[in-house]
Amino acid sequence: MRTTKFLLVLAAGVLTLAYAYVYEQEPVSALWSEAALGFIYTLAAALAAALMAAVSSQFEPDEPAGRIWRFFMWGLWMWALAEAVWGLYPVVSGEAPLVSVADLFWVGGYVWFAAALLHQYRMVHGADGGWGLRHVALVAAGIVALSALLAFPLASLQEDGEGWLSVFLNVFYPLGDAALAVGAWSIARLFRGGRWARPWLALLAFVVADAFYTFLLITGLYSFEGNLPSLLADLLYLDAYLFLALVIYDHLEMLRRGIPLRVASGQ
Amino acid sequence: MAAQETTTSAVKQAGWLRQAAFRREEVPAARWAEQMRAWQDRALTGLVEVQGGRDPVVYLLIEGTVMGAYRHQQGRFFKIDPLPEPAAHLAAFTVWVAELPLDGVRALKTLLERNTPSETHTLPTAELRSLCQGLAGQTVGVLHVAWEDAEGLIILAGRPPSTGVFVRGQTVTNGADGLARIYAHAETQCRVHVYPEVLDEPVLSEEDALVRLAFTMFADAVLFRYIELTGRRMGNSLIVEMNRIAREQGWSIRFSRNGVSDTHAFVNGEEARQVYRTLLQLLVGHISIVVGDALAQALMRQALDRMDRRLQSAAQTLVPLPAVA
Repeated sequence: MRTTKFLLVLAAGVLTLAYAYVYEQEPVSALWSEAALGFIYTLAAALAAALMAAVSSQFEPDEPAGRIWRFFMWGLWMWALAEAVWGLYPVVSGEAPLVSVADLFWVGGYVWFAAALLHQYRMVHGADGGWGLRHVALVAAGIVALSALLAFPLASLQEDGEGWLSVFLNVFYPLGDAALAVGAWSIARLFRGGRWARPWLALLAFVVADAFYTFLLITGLYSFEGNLPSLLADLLYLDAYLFLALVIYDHLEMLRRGIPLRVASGQ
Repeated sequence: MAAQETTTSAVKQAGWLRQAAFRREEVPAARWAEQMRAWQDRALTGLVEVQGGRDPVVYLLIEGTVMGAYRHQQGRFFKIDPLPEPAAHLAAFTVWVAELPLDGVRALKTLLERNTPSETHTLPTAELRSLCQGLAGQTVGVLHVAWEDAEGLIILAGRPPSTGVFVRGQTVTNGADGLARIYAHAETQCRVHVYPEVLDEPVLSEEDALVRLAFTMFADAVLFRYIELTGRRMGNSLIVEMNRIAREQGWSIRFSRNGVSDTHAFVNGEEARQVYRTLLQLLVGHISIVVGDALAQALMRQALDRMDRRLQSAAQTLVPLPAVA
């Protein structure tokens, strides 16, 4: 177990350094360097998804508790697919469009994470306790409506002619992240102090990464051509995947090995 | 293996609960686990007799938790350990269900384990009270009082009884009212069968018996909810650890997904309480590591809320929770 954990930490470090190196140095052509960066992202996302698949395999098919982690896993696979698609664009067409198939997978990921959060909530509070599918659907509809509402005026202000859909997504993603953050934080609070909270807390790393990226976008500091703040934003996102992968690995080991009990002396 | 064709339960054939209303159900074998969960969710207290295999099996349940299982063979009941599930090779079971109050289940436990009475008295119903008071000082066990159209169960625990279970058709009256109805029943003559507590188990006071019952029910309820939240694998690891600790400490207490069984012969009630507290501290401590203190406390609260008030009070002597409102 320690060896595997060490190797995972090492892999995370290597991937982070590799990303920074390729980003800064472009050791091969710009096109292939960009493809390499996309590949690193995909690898990190797939690692998290694969580890979550191992977690969900610790549950029998009829176990309600297993459903939570299966939904979580599908969310991660959705994002891994999005990373893969996004990473292929430079190779296939030279440049990633503002709106693409990858966005379908990004948005799909949110749906699966929402399902995981709702299911976890209902496992704790019961099917009748507070939040249900209807409430989640209302929140989702609210986010979509607000994004659409804001996209119209914002799109008209775009000097570079960025389409409405692209602006809509740029508004939607931070709102979706905020909703995800609130959900993950709420679930983590249910298990506060317990190891079961950790995968939910680890999801917040994406929120931090997305928040920083959005800040850079809004302030114009983010450059697709590359600069230090942009590199930091990218690394934050990459390390969010890697951090989540490590947390999921710990969760997996807890499921596999359990936790030994010790009788205190004097008991 | 041919299934038994029966039109009544083995418990009734043994002469007990002849006046009680049993509900008969046909349960497909594939739905047995689902049926058990349904009884747990309903917090069923009573007996469930399963027919369809070679021998009927009687389960005693208290608030959905199986407290004991007994196989009926050659006219006698034999306690089965560990707590089994009916034969998986059968297509369906005939299930007889009788809902009883807590004292009814406790009394039935003694009847099933004793099988035959040590003595039988035929006397006027009017003399029943003095008989009970006379026996109370010398017998720990159960009195089964039988009339043509009704019956009663009285638990003797070293002092004159204050409660009883009166059964007549659909009507089951418990507590002081139950005892009053037993003493005042209209039929002039009754037969009283005396079933002493089974001697190879420790003779417990009423209070200690309640604490033991509260411990097994509480631990099982908390474990059940933990397994629901975290899955069978985590539950199994915890069960293995609890059984390891109990074994290392020399306690005959066994945890399983089907329930908690305590067959340890404690020197006295205080020793039992110490052991129960230790085990519950370990159980809840482990659960806290996984789901956090707040949720662990909530699981304990949920387990307590489902229990009979007397069992709640007994359980609260074992776990450090604020009193139930």
